[in-house]
Amino acid sequence: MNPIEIENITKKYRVREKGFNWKKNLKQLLKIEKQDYLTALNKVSFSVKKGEIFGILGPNGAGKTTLIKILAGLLLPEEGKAAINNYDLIKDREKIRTSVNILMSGGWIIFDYKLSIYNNLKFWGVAEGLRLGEVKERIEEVLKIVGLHEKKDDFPENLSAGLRQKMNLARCLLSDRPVYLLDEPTSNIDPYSAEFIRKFIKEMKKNGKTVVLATHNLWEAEMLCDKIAILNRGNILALDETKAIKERIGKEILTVELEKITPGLIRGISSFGFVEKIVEEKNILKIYGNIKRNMPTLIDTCRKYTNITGVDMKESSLNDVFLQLITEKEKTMVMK
Amino acid sequence: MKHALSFMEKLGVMWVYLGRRARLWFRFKISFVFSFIAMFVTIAIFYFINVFVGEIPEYGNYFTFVLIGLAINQYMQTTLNTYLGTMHNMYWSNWLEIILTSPMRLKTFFSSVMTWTYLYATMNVAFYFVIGIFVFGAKFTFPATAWIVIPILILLIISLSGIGLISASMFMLANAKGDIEPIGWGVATLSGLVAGVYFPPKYLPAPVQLISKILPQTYAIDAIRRILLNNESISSPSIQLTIIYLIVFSIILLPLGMFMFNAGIRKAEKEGTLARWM
Repeated sequence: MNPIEIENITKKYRVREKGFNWKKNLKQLLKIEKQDYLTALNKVSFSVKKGEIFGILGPNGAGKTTLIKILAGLLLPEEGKAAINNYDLIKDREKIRTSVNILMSGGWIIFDYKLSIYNNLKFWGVAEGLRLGEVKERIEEVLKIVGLHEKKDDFPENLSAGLRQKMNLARCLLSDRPVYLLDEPTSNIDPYSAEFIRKFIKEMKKNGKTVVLATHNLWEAEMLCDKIAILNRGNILALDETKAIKERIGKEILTVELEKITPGLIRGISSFGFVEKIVEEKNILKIYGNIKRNMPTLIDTCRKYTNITGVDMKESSLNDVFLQLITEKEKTMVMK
Repeated sequence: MKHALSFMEKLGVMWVYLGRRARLWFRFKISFVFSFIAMFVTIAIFYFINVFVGEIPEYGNYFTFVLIGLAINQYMQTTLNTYLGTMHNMYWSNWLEIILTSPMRLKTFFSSVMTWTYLYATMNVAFYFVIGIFVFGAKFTFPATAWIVIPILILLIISLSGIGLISASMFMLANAKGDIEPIGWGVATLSGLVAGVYFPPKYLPAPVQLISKILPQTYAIDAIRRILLNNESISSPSIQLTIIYLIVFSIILLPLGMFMFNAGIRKAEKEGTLARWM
């Protein structure tokens, strides 16, 4: 069985109003009036294999953190089933919590700024069940891993955000657990520290750990993840292997800026077998498909109908898939 | 992958937590110097009030009477306020979620916090007595039966822990996310007025005396004074009755407090309010 299996998970939050409306509250209490709910997750299902890095991509408010907290057993869903490390989400919640490691963005607020890194970690070490005799050795081990060994007597108040996140990572590593849930681990930290954490995530995979990475950094997800779920407003818009998701919209994208776009031009370009998709934005055409080899043909076709003011060609990235899926309804899309 | 801690590992958590708090305590020396000055001033105020009040029937000297009240009040306030205060800190600093994902569990954490706060309260109580006796000349006989004070104090702490836990549960159940919630605050504030910390409750108007009778601390404070000031022992019917009352209060309040606290955590798990920052 896979370490993570979730099926039709739905989570709703009660919408809180500003101020205290006693009439409304009383009516809701007496069930005269229905409470307003916001759907944070809507029938979300997926599974993650052992040793896989699974990315959850989505804009702010997509439901990423909600999903991470459900996977950690810290939040109960309204509907659905889930098994984490073979433990049932509802019945074995306490066992789930101690079988996953959770790293939150800004999670360093748990550290006391007036205690050294070592003394901060010492408490969390014994809380993880390390004996007094072994906690010192383990802290030194994890501080070496995250590169904070020489700073063990420094205080968190003197550390940069990047170093604090490394300290947070060190706390996470005090216990050896099979699943890591990382919620935007590289947000708000410097590129050097972010790169360190990315390398570390790759190391986790090598060591057979299962990683769930929630992020809105598309480049990071593309580089690290084996499989990706794109989440928006609680719904999974796409769920597949990273490569397959990227290929959904074609291998390459040609962006052509034109004086005007005519129906004839669209028809002409659509007629080519190597064009998979065309997206029209004001006077810009985005052409997806096997473009590289056929670029002269496309440029010639465009010139037949209008003047070209700009051309750009690139390989499609997760960023393009993401933007396309998220803003699908708001764009005029001409499908082949 | 550990799901729970052994007894020795729990003791290890407690030990490291106490060390951690002691380290922080030494880092804020000035604030503790000020808190001791404040305690000294409080004792001095009651010493001079004693000059006007003098003797009070049944208990003798007012200064020794109030010194006992102040000492017990330290333990009462600690018990009533620490659970809610700890919930408040855990919520704002994300500790609650991290503790829940550790095999330590909340019980061990709360035991560690309470141990520290009782040690601190005991230090304050010792300060009250040392200053009261050696600076202001309070006279205590400390009879051989004084040991009974300890089980009475423990029973008082157990029953008030129930109220403390109810108060902490309101943080989640009633969304009382400020520093104060009505139940704990009400009991802690009323204690000063009706439970006999500063004067015997019999001087209160009859309807107010009724409130004092539903609070466990009223019985405990009175019994401790009878033991320390009037040399009463366990054979005294009033002391025996107090112990029975406190046992009854403990049997009712502690399980109720635990039930409500757990209900609060369950509600927070459903609503996603275990931590401030989602």
